[in-house]
Amino acid sequence: MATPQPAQAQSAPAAAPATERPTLDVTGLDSIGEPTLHFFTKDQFAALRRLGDLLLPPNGSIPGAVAAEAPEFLDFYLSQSTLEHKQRYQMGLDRLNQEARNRRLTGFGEIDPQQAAPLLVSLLEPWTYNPPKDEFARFLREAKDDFFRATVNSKQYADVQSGRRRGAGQNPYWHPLD
Amino acid sequence: MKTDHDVLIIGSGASGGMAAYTLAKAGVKCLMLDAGPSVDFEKQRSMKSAWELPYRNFNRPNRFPHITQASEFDANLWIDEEKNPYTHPEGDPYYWVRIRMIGGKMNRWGRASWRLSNFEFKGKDHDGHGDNWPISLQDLSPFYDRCEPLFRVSGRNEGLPQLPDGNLIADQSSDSLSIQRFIESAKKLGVPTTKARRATGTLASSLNLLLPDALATGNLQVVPDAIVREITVDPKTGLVNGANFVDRRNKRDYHVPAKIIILGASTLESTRLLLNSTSTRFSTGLANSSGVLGQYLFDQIYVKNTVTAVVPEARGGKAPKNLMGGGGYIVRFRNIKEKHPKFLRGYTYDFYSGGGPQPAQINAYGEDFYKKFQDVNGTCFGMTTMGEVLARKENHVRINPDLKDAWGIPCLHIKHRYTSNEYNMAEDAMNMGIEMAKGAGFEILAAHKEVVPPGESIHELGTCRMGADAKTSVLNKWNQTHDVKNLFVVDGSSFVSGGAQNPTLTILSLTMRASEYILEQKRKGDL
Repeated sequence: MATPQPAQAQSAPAAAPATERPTLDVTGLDSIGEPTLHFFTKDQFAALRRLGDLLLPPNGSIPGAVAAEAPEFLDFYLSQSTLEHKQRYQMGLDRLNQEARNRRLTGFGEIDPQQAAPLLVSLLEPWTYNPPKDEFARFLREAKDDFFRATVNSKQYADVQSGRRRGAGQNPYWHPLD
Repeated sequence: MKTDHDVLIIGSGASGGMAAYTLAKAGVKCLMLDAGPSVDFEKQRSMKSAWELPYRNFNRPNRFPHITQASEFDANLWIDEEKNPYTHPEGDPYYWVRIRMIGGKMNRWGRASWRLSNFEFKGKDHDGHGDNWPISLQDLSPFYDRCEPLFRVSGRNEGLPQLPDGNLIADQSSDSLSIQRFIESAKKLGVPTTKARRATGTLASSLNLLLPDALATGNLQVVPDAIVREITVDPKTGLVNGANFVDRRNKRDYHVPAKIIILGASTLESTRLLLNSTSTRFSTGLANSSGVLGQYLFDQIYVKNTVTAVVPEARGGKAPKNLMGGGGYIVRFRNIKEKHPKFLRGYTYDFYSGGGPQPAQINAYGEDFYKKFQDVNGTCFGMTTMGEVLARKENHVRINPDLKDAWGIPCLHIKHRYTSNEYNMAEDAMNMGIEMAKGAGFEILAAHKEVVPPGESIHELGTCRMGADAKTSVLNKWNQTHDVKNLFVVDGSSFVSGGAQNPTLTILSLTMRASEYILEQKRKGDL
């Protein structure tokens, strides 16, 4: 049996000088993977997706909530969120589906903007500091805010806004200190 | 003894940093312990987009129940609330916002740098509430004069008794037309305004402005990751003689001796440490013969975005040149010459022109949302209120005997509740803000009077207060404990009242003053 050679005896590939810190251009998970749904039922997710499209549709070349995969992100985010936040979303989406069924649709996922308008009317009320007391209105307000953040903080949105320039829209990120 | 230090400093932020700066430059050997790590801005920071973060800048859910300031970008700077718990009464939340690292909260502060006036130092003389400080503006002015240039504070002197003039870099910038209109509107109501007073420079921290100079003397050793459990007392002399501390990283315990201790671990951490430092002589906490250690907790109320308004001429992206931009500060105007019927003391505002509203403030969705947002984006005028909170004995901290942190150190129970004085002040601030904005011709988009929870302003003060009477205070006028002459507490816990002014400049100045007193006492052989 041949004696194993020590690693340093093998010829090294051509490399950058030892003093240079390598930086690799890596790809984000979002860019290559289809998100697996974590939290909502199929019906709830269909309603969530439709709600996202109604609240933040595409704006010219700027992606809306659906193109930004904001519903998929919120499904993941809600799966780790507080019980109160989870329950409010579940209640709100179930209510949207029930209201749609009352209009002889299979669910909110297939509702058109005119049919949806009476359900979303609380979003037209003037803003108040404290959230609405009505739980459904509160859900809609939270969903609008969450969809907005999830959309403008998406790669799809950044790519369009920044013209794919890496430096645009960036901020200092603090790595773990230990 | 492994070190030959004269002074042990606990904490490295505004107060600890200034103590080290003053003493080390005067030739005093200092040893500094800080509970947090040393940070390297080059290695520990990099530029990222929100989409690159695990939670799209939403932050991991429930990571920071009490730190609303934390974003996912800077989440690793803030204290881990699971390792560092505390309690508050059910229904009375307290938001204790902490950073543990060399430089302390100064690495993230807002830089607003205002002097207190005799309306604060001698508040009781003015309206009968609470207690006076044992010092006046005249005692602290020489130190403000030296701290302001050190932190390159810019601003404008107005000659107002409630806002003492400073040793400032003169802010000679002109105001935009919308700001000019607002200032004129305020003036008609008798409300004084001025430029913001802020420390300038890329970083304005103990980390770059105090500690490097102190280290350069060769008289300072800085020790990160050292969490002090308790301060020890010589039972024969009653003087402090050292500190027991634990390595944050591996929980290994140590002791370090001390001839003089300067405590600047931040308002509530300093008081917690004193309360945890019990002995036969001080059974209820070190230097607590008065029994008031932990009492008289206060901060400042914040009403964030009290008023958001639209400058109508700027709608639709049609703002004429120089209409928008800039900002300023409204100086306290209540209870200066006249007495307000509904509250004592007063409040201030920051105001700005430019930018857009919060998306949530646009009452629309879908394409209408985009249209409305586009119409008002860049047109906004905003005001945030900061108001004085009265120091009250019943607002206090104590040790919770049933709760310990990750290092086995007993934690705090914090009880702080606002009263009608603060709520009436917030309502007045909202109404006055609306009136001033309307007077400038602005359209009110949103207004409210909701005060953030106690603590959220990160201006927690008191609990180890100064005073002339050793029966009702912990510290004398030199930030020296009445009970133990070689123990000094120099952070915000020493405040008797706080006004509405951001406290950091006063903490720096008090510490410089206390440190020079220590030098004098050492020269005399009294310390």
